[in-house]
Amino acid sequence: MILAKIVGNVTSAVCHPGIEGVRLLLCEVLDDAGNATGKIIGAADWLGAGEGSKVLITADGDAAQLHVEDPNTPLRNAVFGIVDHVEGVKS
Amino acid sequence: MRFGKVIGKVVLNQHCDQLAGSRWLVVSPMGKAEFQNEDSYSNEPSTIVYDALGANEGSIIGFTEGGEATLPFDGPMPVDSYNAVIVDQIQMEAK
Repeated sequence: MILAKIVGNVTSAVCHPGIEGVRLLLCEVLDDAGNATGKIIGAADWLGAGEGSKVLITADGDAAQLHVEDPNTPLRNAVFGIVDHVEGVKS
Repeated sequence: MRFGKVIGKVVLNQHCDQLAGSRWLVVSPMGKAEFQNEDSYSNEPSTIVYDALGANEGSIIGFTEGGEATLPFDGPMPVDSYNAVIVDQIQMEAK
């Protein structure tokens, strides 16, 4: 899983039918110390994670397919957990 | 899913049969800096993305890479990056 922070979202009118209506968040990948790395991953979100919160993102399509109605949806990253806090990591 | 700016197109003259009529975009990947500053381009190498949505130069797209890029096709396809989303609006925190 990838630890990331939500920094925004995108909307789209023209997209693959399986992604229509799916909430797409812009998530910035965090390093061990929790600092932003500048790398942006677009992740689908069904948990309703708010902007600025830290989340766990899966990078495996099969996991993302659990929530997707259309099995042909080209989706890899999805938010599967909202992080409360990270312990024991030197910051 | 990674995002990128479409900066060009690739036209094939020879290809394997599954790729008949395929459309390819040259996409420069976007990091946070590129999201915040429209005319800055990242120095990451550009990537070529299969496009079925009809994106053209200047648009920002979200593309899926890896095995999941072949999901929209019926049979096996030699494609590893697929244009899934043409981005309309971007909402991002200021800093």
